[in-house]
Amino acid sequence: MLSCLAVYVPWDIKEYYDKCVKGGYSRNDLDFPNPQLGSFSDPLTVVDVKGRIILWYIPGLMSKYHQVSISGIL
Amino acid sequence: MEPLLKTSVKKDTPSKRLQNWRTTHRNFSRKTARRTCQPGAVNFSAGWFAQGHTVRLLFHSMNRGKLTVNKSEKYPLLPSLNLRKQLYLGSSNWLTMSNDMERFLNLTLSLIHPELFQSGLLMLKKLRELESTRDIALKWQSIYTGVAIISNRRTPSHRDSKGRPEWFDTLVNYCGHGNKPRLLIKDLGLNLKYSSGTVVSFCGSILEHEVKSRGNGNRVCFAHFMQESVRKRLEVPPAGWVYQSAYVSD
Repeated sequence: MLSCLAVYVPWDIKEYYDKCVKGGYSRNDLDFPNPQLGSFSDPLTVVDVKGRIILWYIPGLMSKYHQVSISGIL
Repeated sequence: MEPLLKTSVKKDTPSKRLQNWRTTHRNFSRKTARRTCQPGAVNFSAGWFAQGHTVRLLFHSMNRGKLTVNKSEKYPLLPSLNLRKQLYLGSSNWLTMSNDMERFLNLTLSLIHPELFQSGLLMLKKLRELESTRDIALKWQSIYTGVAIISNRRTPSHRDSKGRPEWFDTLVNYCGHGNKPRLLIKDLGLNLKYSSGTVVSFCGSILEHEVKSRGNGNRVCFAHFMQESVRKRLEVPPAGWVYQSAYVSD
């Protein structure tokens, strides 16, 4: 099992997408308040009100080995 | 890779409307003693449509004064031009030198979004069967169909609209000493430390994101993406949402 802090968004991400992102309605006119989740530096998932994971944040996942091999590309 | 990155940066045009923030020179940092990587932004793809060529190619003719469509053909899926034409040595280097990173990211995606991983795997399999994409797709390791390499660029707030809302874009960030970037997700008021080696996978079609960089060091991002138009052409089932219940035991 993955262990990761979860923070929650108090609305449905699909509705937000349909109405505000695609539909062009202002979030302030509908019930999608900005949750102002704040600053983080440890692993994190963001979960909507229906339990959908909408973001994984995994700092330091790529090792120095990968970082060195990538530096060879540039 | 340096020549590819260099030629990707475009001078300003008189019309701001025509400027693409992804490549306009004003969003890139200059090289310095500590910022040694060539600034630029290059897209690679194992299979996509040339810009504006996502639907059909139509052949018209005039018949008794009326314009009629004689023939309609699908535009072909093709690897990005820089891979097809082996533009500079950097393109082939990219395919071989990124193998380890891409395989590792594939495994990561199989854990954090298993359905998207399966869809991507099926797309890659189909690209390896198509004549127009086979040669490049056989060397391509990522289950994402596209990767953008973004070097020393400011990234204004934006959404990436060519995917599906349920999908994750995956960003891999590398930065040198003296650079302390933050990834901001505006819709959520989320501010993430974006240190070297960080991976962020998220619904990039929904969540508006921006990178704020401070300091002098290098910053390079590998942004992995999929396109809905490519999925449709390949007739691969779309991945759904990923739910927390898949990870939390009762």
